[in-house]
Amino acid sequence: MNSNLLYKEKKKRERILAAVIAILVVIFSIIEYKLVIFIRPLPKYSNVLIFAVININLLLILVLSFLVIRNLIKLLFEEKGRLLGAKLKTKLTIAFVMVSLLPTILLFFISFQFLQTSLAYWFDIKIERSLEQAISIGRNYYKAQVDELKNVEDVISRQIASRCKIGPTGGIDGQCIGDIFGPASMTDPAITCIRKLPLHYVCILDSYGNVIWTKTWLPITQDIQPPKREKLASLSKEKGPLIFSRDLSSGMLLLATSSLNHPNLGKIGYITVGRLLGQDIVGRLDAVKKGFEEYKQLRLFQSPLKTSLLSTLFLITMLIIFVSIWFALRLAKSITEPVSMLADATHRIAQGDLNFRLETKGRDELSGLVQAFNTMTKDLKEARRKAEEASRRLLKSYSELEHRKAYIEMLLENVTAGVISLDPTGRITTINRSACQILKLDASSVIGKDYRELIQGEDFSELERLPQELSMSGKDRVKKSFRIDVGGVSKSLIISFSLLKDNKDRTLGILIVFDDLTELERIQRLAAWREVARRIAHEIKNPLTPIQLSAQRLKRKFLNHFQGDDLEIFERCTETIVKQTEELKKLVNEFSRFARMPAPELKRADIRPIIDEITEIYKSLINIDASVSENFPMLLMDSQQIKRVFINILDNSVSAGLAKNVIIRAYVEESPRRAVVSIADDGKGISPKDISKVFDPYFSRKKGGTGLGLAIVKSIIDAHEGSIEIKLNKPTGVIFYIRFDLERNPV
Amino acid sequence: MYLFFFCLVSDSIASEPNAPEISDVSLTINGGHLFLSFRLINGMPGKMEELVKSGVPVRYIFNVTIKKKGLLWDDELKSMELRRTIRFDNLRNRYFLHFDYPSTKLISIEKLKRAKKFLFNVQDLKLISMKRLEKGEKYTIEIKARSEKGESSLPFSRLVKMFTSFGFSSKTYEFEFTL
Repeated sequence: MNSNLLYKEKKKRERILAAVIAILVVIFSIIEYKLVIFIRPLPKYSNVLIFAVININLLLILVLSFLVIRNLIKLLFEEKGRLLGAKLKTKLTIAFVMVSLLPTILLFFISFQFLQTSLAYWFDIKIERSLEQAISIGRNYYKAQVDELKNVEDVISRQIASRCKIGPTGGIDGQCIGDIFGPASMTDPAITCIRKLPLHYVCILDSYGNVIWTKTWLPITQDIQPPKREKLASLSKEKGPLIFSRDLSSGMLLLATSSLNHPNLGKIGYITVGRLLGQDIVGRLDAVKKGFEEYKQLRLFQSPLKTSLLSTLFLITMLIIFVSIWFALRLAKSITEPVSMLADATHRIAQGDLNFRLETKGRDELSGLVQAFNTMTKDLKEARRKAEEASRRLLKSYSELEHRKAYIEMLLENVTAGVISLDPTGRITTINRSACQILKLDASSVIGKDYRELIQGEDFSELERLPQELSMSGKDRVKKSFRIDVGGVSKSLIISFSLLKDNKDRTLGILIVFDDLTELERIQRLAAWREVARRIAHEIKNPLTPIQLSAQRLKRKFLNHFQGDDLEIFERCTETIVKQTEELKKLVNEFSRFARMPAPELKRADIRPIIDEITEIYKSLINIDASVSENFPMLLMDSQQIKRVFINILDNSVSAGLAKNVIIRAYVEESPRRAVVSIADDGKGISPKDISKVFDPYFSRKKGGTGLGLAIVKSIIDAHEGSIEIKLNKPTGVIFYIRFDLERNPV
Repeated sequence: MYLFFFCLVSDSIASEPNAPEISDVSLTINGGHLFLSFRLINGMPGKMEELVKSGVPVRYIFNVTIKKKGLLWDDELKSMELRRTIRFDNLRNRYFLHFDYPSTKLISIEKLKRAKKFLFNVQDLKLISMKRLEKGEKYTIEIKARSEKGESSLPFSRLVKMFTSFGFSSKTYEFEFTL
């Protein structure tokens, strides 16, 4: 799968995950809201944050737990499926998880205990009591300040009411008020007492709320606003003075406002007095108040605070656990993935895929290993390329050699000469087809054998000495003629022995090349005999007729001149002359026929009528059993000459072999496809040593035989491009096989 | 996991038997205007009183809406929001009440009972001019009260807020009237 597809699949998964999260947020929010509303009505917006935070936390944990569980299940399946690297991954994951899980859990329980203890200390009764006492002191101080301010206000009010002149409309003399707080001209003890009061602000207002007189004794001059008329209107004697404060830069100005009453005239105005509480005092009071209030709030929030802290702790712990598992899985994957990739790549390279390359990320040791692997693959590829190139070259050379060898073998196989190579010990290393045919050997059975075991003949001893003679003579070649016996047949061979030498002139063995001269010699003999026959016929035939005629005339003319024994002698002699002349004529005719053997007139003819005719001629002399197979074809032949072949063979069987029975069979041989005519007799046969000479002219064991009958047979068959063979019949007699090659000369 | 969290949350916002509700609603016509009076009862449920006494300001918001009944939907004629805040000063030992309607004012009260009376009683709220109302038509008045806890100075206040809610939201009080 390519990276683009993987990326698309990943994106699709992310989109699905985002959609699921969004749906979960909505579902959880609805459920929570419904449940909360059911329990107690709450303001909508105040809980949005709660829902959001809870949901985000929940979803984070859910997503994380989903990823972790998914990876753990995946790991489990990988382990079961015995995937490469799964065991290592599992071990690493367990190790990492254990390393992170144990301290996390330990830390969680310690933190839990620590939190419980801390909360217990926070809400200790002693602290609560101390804080209550502190706030009580603060309250008392504040109250004391307020009370003192009220007293001051009361004193001033009475002095103003008693000393100052009040107008008919209730107006107060401002000069009088100024005198009370003015220079020390008045020696009245009450006024002196007022001047010693710790006052920082005094404001006298008329009954309408207008300022009549005001004075401040503040370290920094600040504009102090008197109370508003609405406030003043709400004042009553029953309610007491209005206490309020102003925050100033130098502290807090505590103010008390009350009505200014005259014993006779009633309310004549308002008085506001103020006292500055220093910044240090105010700060301390605020600190006490804040501490007390926060403590009260903490007490109030004790349970949810504890819950929230514990939940946070739990969430963080869970987060750490899941993150550590996730991290462990990622780390294990980051370690095992390259190992797995390497194993996979090794497998692929073992299968021959040297184009495969691993992607490297990072610079760690595994990446280095991957890079080394890639380098190795590259080197292997290069080495294979070189090896393949070398192999191609070798293959080409081998092919050329094979071609050359095949060509040489073809040459050797097709040369008519027999070729045999011998190693230095005389064992046959190669032998060609012609050699096998000439020597009637099977190549596979003679390879490795000593050549001397295979050859027999009259010149064997000389043949055996020839290699030694060759090595001693210093010549490269020795050539001689031999007659050897092959399967009972004597063959005339001309044999050449050559030394086989390599480029460095080292002798590797002997090469024997020989030609079968038997047939050539036979043809030469035949030609010679034909020449002889032609001359004899020419020289003898002419005088024979006058001799015969003369002898007949002598007998006719002088027969009456002799009587008794003379007559008998004369008659016998003339008879003998005539008879022998007749015999000589016959002999000469035979010679003449042999010498003048005409070329056959080949025509398509059936052999069956010829066999029938022969059978008819000889049936009075011998028993002939003749049969021709149905598939025996028509042959291109000269019928007269073929008839002569049958006659000569049967004559030979009757006169020389004294046969009584003859079996003629005509049939077709397959592979090679040949038409065969066999003529078997039960005569006395022939000695094995003469069997090769029966077709030689003038070879005859028959008394009075010319020795030309079978020579003529051989000549006719040769003229028909056929072959003739003679074998000994069992138990007696001979068999002639006449063969016509149907493949070479189809009819 | 979800149930666990929900248990945590639900524990802190456990239901109260006396839920806040709007009561004693009355309408009066005076000077060509319609005036509304009502009262919030159980305005400090549960530990809310303790919360106030611990110095945390609590804001009460009253939403009042008057609608004219329609065939398919109601027409909102007027809607108003009243905000009242109570804060206890532990040093001065007084409750400070802040009103923003009909005018802004601040009052301090010593007793909580009296402070509650000021806080929860809405008296003669000027609702709408009678000129905008027609005879024979049906009108609906909706009153809803809710409260919010003010900001606390606690260091864990935001964390605590996740698990507690001292605020409430009453059921909407709704009634119809015809002139």
